[in-house]
Amino acid sequence: MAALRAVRARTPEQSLFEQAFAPATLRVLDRIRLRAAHASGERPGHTRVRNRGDVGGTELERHVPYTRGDDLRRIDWNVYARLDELVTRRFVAEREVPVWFVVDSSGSMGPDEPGSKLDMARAIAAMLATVSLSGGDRVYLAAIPGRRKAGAGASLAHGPLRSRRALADVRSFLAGIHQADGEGDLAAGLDHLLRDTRRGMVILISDFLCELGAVQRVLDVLAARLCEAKLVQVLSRGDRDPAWLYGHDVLIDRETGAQHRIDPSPDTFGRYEEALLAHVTALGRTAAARGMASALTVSDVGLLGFLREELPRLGLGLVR
Amino acid sequence: MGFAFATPLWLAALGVLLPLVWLYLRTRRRPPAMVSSLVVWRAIAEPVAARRRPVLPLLFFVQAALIVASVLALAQPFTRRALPPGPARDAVIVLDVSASMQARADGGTRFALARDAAQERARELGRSGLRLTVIAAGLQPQVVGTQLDGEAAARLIGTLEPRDTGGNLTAATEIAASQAGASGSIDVFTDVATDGLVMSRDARALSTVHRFGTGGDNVALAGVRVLSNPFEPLARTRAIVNVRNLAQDARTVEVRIAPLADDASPGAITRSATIAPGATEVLSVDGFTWSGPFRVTLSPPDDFALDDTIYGVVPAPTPLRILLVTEDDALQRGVEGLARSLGSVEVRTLVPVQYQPASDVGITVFDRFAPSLPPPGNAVYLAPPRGNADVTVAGPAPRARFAEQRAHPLTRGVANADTLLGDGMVSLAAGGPLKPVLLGRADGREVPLVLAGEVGGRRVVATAFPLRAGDLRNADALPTLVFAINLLRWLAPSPGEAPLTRLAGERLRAGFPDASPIARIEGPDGTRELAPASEITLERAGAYRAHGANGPRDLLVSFIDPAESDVARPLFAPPAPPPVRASEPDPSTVTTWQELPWVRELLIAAVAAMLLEWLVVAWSGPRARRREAARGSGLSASEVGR
Repeated sequence: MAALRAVRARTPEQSLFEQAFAPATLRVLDRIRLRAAHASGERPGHTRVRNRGDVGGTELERHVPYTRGDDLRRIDWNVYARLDELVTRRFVAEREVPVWFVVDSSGSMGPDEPGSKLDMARAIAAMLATVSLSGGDRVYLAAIPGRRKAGAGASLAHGPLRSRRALADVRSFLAGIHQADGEGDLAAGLDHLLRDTRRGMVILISDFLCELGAVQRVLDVLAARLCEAKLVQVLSRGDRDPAWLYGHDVLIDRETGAQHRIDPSPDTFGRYEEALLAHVTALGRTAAARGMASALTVSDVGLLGFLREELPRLGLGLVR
Repeated sequence: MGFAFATPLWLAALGVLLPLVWLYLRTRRRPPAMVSSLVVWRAIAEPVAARRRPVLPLLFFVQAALIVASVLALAQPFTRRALPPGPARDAVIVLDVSASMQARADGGTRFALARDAAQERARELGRSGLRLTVIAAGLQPQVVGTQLDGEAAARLIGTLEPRDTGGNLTAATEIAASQAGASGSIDVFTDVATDGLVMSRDARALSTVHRFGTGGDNVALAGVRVLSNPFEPLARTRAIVNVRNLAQDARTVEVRIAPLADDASPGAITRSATIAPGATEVLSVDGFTWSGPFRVTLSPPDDFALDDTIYGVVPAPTPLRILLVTEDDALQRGVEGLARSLGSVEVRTLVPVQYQPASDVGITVFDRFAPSLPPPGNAVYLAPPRGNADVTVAGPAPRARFAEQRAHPLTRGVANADTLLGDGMVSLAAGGPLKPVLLGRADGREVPLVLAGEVGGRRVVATAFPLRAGDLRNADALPTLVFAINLLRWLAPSPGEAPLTRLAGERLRAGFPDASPIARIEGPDGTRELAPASEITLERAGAYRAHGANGPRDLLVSFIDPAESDVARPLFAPPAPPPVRASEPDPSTVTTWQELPWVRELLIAAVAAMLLEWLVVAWSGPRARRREAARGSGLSASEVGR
C-alpha cells in the first residue's frame, strides 16, 4: 500500500507515461502477472498456458471429455479402462507468449500532452509491457499510425523485446509515439503488424470512438490470427462529460476535421452521455462475443485507478 | 391620449445599446470546440437548426433596461391627456357710468341711449351662445356680473345708473381684456371717442367702441369759496363763485345763492354774468345776511344739469375769548390792540400768579410762563421757561438762526420768518404730538422754533421765541402780525358739528378727530349705515344729512369736474377698424391637452435597474462562473473556487 500511495503522490504535472517508469510503479508491477487464456508460443517461457491439449506440459490441469479431433495421444486410457469413458488430458504449459502492445496514436487520442488519452495509452502500454517482460514473454510494441504525418493504415513497430533489460527500449519507443494528424485504420495496421503472428496476445489500446464496423474489422483481423485480444478503451474526462461544451455550438472532429453543430443544452449532453454508454457497451459485447476481454478507463483516473479497477477485467491481476 | 418627448434628440442615445449587444454577443460566441470524435455526437439526435438564437444573460437585459430607462428619462417623455373643454370665451360689455353720460342727447340722456344699446348688444351676443360679463366703468370700475346669458346681462345692465363722478375707462377696458381672454370681445358704450380712450394694445384689439353724444352746450359752476373771518360780522363775508362757459358761444347766466334750508328765502343773492365761450367768470358775492349751508344754482338750464348746482357754507361769526397770561404790559397792550382791530375778540389778561384754568376761554396764551397743568382749551406757549404735559423745554437756547419753514396754517403768508426771532429764546424739544413748523439752526444742529399739534383733542402751539409787543402795533412787522393772526385763526375753537363739504367722488371717513363719527347718512343715494371705521365714496352729488351721536349735520357734496362738464366733446375722425385678428376656433370646440411627464417614473426604473444589476453581478456572477468551471472539471464548485 505504501507503493500505491507513492504512485498517488506523483505531481499532476508529471506525465502518466513517466509515472509508469517510476520505481514505485515498477514495484507494483512486479506483483502482476500476465495470464493468457489461449495465447501461446512455441518456445518455453514463464507464462502459464491453460487448457491446452495440443501442447505438451508437465502439469496435468484436468480431464475433459473426448471430442472428435482430439489428439489420440492425449486420451487417458486408464480412465477409459476403469470408467469406460474416453477423456483427454489437459496440461498447463509455461510458454513464451508473443504479446503485441498496439497503441492507437490517431488524432482522436490527442492532444499530445500530459494527462491526455495518448499519454494514458502509452503509460498503460509501458506498464503492461513491463509486466510481460518480467513474465518472460516476447514483447512487440507498435503504434497505428505511428507517425505524425503517416497515412491511415500506417504503423510503427518495435520488437521482439525480452527480459526487463529491454525496458529502456520500451521507454524509448513509446516515448517516440506522437499523435498523428489524421485518422488511423486500426484494422489495416493490425493486419500488417500481425502478418507473421499466430496465437499471440494483442493488447490494443485505443479510445475506440469509431464506428462499430471498424471495431468488427479489427476483431476479424485478430481472430484470423488466432490471437487473444484485450481491448483497453481510454477515454478522456471531456469524452465522458460534455458539460465543458456549454456555449459551444460547433464541434470539430480532432481526427478528421469534420464539423458538427449541436445545441449545447443539458438535454443534448444527456443524450450524448446515453449514446456514449451505448457505444461502450456495444464495444464490450462485441469483444466478449469474440472471447476477448475489454476494459474502459478514463485518462484522468491515474495509473493507480487503472491498475486497481480495470486490470482485473483484462485478466491481469495483482499477485498476492 | 398621446405620447411624445420634450427632448426627442436624446433618443439617439439609445444607440448605446448596439455596442452593448455587440459586447455580449462577442463574449458569448465561443470558438468551435475540438472533440475526439464526432461518432457519438452524430449518433444522437439530428443537428439543430443552422442558426441558433444567441443566448443572452439576465445581466444584459438588466443593463439594457438601465440604459433605456435613463435615455427615456433624458428625452423627457410625457403623455398627453385631453382635458374637458374649457369655458366658452367671454364677451364683455363695458358701460360708461361717468357723470358726463347724464348729458342730454336725442331727447334723453347719453346714458339711456348707451344702456339701451348695451342691452340690445347683450341679447345679440347671448343668442350666439356667448357668456357675458358686464362692467360698470365708474371712478372705480366694477364687474357687476359674469358668466351671464344675454337676457340676464340685459336685465343687469338695465339696473345700472350713471354716477356723479368721473370714469376710468382705461382700467375698465383692462379688466375687460383680462376677463375676455385672447379670443373674447369687448363692447364699450361711452360718450368718449375711440381716439380719446387710453387703453392697452390688447384691449384695443378686442374692443369695439359705441359712442353716444358728441356735442352739447354747457355752462358749469366750477367752484365756490367762502371768504369769511370768524371774528368779523356776516356782512363782510364774501363768496367767490367760478362759472365756466363750455358752450360754443357766449352765454348769459344767473347765479343764485340761497340758504339750503329755505331756497325761497328773501335773503338769497343773485348775480348775472355774460361769459365768453371757453372763459371762466369769477363772481364775488357779498351782502350775506344769513349763515349756514347754501346752494348755488345756475340758470338757465343747459345740456348737463349736474354741474349747475354746488354747495357751500357760510360760517356763523363766533366771538373769540383769549386769556393772556403775562407780566409784560406792553404785550398786553399789543394783544388788546390787535383784538380790537380784529373785531369780535375779547382779551382778558392775568399775571401768572393769578392764573386759574378757565373753561370758557377759547385760547390761552402763556407768555414766558407754563402752568403745571395744561389748560382745558387750546393754548399757545410763548418761550415757556419750563415744560408741562403739553410741551417739553430743554432750557435756554443760544441764539438760533431761521432755517426751514414747513407748510402749515400757522406759516401761511409768513415771509421772512427770521424776523420773528429775538432775545429770550428757549430750546424746545420736538417729539410727541407736537410737530415742528418752523426750524432753526443753532450750534450746528436743527432746533424747533415753532411746534404745533393736537394733544388730547386740544390744539397746542409752542414757540421758542416771545412775541415782541412792539411788532404787534407796527405795520412794518408784517411777519409777526401774520403769524399772530394765523395763530389765533388756527387756535380758534371749531364750531363743532359744522356742515361737511365734499366733492363727488371723494372718500368720506365715518370718524372725525374733533367730532362724533357718522353712523348714518341720508341723501340722494338713500340711507346708508356706516361703521365707525368705514370709508365710503361719495358717488352722488347733493345735500346729505349725516347722523352721529351728537345729532345730524349737513353733508354737502358738490359736483365739480371740468373734464366731465366738458360734454361738448368733438367728433373725432371715424375710428380706424380694429386690428384684424386671425380667426380663432371656439374654445369649446378645441381640445386642450394636459401633459403628464414620465421622467420621475423612468428615473425610479433606472435606479431599480441599477440596483438589480448590482444584485445580479454580486449574486450570480462569480457563483455561476465557479459552477460552470466545476461542471467541466468534475470537481465541486467549492473546490473550483479554491
